[in-house]
Amino acid sequence: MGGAAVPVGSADYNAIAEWLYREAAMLDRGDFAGWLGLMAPDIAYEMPTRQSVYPKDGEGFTTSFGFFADNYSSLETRVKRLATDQAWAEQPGSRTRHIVSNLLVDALDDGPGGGEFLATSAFLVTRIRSDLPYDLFTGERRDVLRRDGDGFLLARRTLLLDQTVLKSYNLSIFF
Amino acid sequence: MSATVTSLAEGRLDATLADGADVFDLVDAEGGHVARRIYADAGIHGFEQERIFRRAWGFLAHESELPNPGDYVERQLAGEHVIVIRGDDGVVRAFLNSCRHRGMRLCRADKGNASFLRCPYHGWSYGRDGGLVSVFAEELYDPEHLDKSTLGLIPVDQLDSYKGLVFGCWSTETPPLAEFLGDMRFYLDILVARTPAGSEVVGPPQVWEVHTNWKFATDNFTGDNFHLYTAHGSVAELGMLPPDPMSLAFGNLVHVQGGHVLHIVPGPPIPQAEFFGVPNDLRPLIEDTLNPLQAELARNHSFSVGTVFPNLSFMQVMVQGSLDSPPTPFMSLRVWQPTGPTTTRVWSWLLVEKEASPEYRQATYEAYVRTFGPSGIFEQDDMENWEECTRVNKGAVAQRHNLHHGMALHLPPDPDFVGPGTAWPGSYGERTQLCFYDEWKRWITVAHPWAGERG
Amino acid sequence: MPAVLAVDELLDGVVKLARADHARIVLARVDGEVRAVQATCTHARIFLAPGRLTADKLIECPMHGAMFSPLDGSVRCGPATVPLAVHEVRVVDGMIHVDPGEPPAEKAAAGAAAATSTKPGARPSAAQWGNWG
Repeated sequence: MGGAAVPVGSADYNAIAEWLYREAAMLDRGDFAGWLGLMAPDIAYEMPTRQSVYPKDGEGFTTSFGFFADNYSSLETRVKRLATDQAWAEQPGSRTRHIVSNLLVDALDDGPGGGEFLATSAFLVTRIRSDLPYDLFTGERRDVLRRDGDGFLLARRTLLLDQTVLKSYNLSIFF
Repeated sequence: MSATVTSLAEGRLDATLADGADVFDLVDAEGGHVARRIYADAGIHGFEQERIFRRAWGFLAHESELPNPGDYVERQLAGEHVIVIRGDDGVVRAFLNSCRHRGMRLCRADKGNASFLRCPYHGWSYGRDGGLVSVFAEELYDPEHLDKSTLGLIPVDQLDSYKGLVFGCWSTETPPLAEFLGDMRFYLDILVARTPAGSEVVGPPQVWEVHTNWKFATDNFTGDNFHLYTAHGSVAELGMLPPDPMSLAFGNLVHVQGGHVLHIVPGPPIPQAEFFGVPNDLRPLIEDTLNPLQAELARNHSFSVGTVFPNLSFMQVMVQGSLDSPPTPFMSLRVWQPTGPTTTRVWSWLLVEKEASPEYRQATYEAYVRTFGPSGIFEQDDMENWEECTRVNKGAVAQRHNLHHGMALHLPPDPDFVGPGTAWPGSYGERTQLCFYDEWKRWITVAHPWAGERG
Repeated sequence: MPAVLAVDELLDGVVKLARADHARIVLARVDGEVRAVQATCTHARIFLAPGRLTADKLIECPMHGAMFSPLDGSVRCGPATVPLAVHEVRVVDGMIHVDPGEPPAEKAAAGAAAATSTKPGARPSAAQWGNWG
């Protein structure tokens, strides 16, 4: 899927890791407008549904029918909705913790001055609201990051959840 | 309380709870009183499982989920695991997902294709038709101790399908599906079988779990149209609902005998809003397929939400998936599976006409998944409301006070409505909730709820 | 060779159980040709099931999923390791005739195992334990 492996600890790797950590921090402090600014105009943000299938039938993902299938406009709509004070699912807001780990990076196109990277990571997102128990989500993220000046924009995010039946009453947070 | 059904005079069943209260007294459809307790009581949950879910027809799968012989899905009926599988003869069958030997759960995947259903414990193997084919070391059985022909998988007692919707029933006493659905079939045609090839699923169901009683979901899906501007105030504020909160109050609330309920609501007076907003290329197909009254209803309305008793709901609505996309229709089916007195597993399917263009198929999917489902900008807030209603209604003090159902109860039926059942004018009202609860009460307190004089 | 079944009763892709004198056999029609192999799987010795050939035109054992070619009895998928015995077939005047042959050692073992294992004091053969240990 990827191209040349980008070594752990190299400048590009570190820049991408830092980008991911700052992105996570943005989400966890509720700076959704700022987070939206990290999205490329052609962002494809998707989370397939998953079913428990026997190994011979693959991993069980259905990408043509998921839990998220967003573009920039729909992500922007979500952020605008959260900024009203009537998004009851987030009034009061969820307290989230995005833990991003196991990062591996491949260069997809390292033409001079441009380039995209495939950043694969594991995520553990906790969400807690009010005095309710933790909702826990783990899975794999496949991100395509595109150079943009000194930083990156997110061009694509595919979220491969470990859960099949969601053990949470909604997905009112970003992953 | 006893798990067995006991008959009293007048066909009444004993519905006494552990503290002496009678379920019969917890719902007064005439007076508009519903006790909070029905949403948070273990005894009531037990009665529901025994008298509703093990007796009523329950939705299992859509035929389009099983295109090939050997295709199966694992579903639940009254909380028990069921394999729904298409045989080599093309027939869809459903069985308790349990080996006859030690009861082992035979299929442990959500879906797949099997040539044989093999038990991983001792190897008993069943064919796609549920017959027991092989027993290990069969030569060690005296024939009088093993008759394979009597040891096939336990079939769901009744199985039938209507226009692609596969239903099962754990009771042979319950009338056949066609009779159970009754006039609701008129509306189901409009929703899931309105084109020559009918509708099919877009993928497997989304499944998620909510700490709510299932009846908050059905309460909302009886045709609760008046929660929109509050519960979904966030999207109203963004302009994704019409500006006038009374603009959606039009149309009708409908009750079909058997406890089936719905609303049907007109949109704006523009051609786009006719036929629920489906693309123009599908509209002639709809007119050709539906009967004239069905086609008239389809033409004149944009939204319909309702429930097939007890827990199969549907929503046919037009929404914008994002601020810069046009209102686009989708048709979703829901099963609200009670997993406990205050917990529910939600199953949600998206359907689309088989004749839909690839562009429309993608558009209806995007409209659905961005607005409904667990991440939907509408549905997120519904889940919040149902969880917190349930949470508070658990309280003993809270349960001293009935809930309130009073809107539009004074209105007489609408004589001009063209569909079957009883229809009331306007879609803001609490009549259909009370019709649903009345049927709910009937199934718990009456031996043969499908018989005799009905409200 | 005893007549077993009318050829018109065996459609393409269909698998049927039958008997040719003492021999329990499986008949299968593969691309028009009738084939016959032993009726018991060489793994756990349960009867193969009537039905259809797989998409790859193989006979699948219902219990553990071993697959065999109906053409030569060869094993195409485990856990079986021993091929099925093949019985000669002739179609004469619309009837399928099958040579029952001598019962192969495996088949004799099936009935024998049941009989011997339950005899007080009986012990398994070395062959049954194979290379184990």
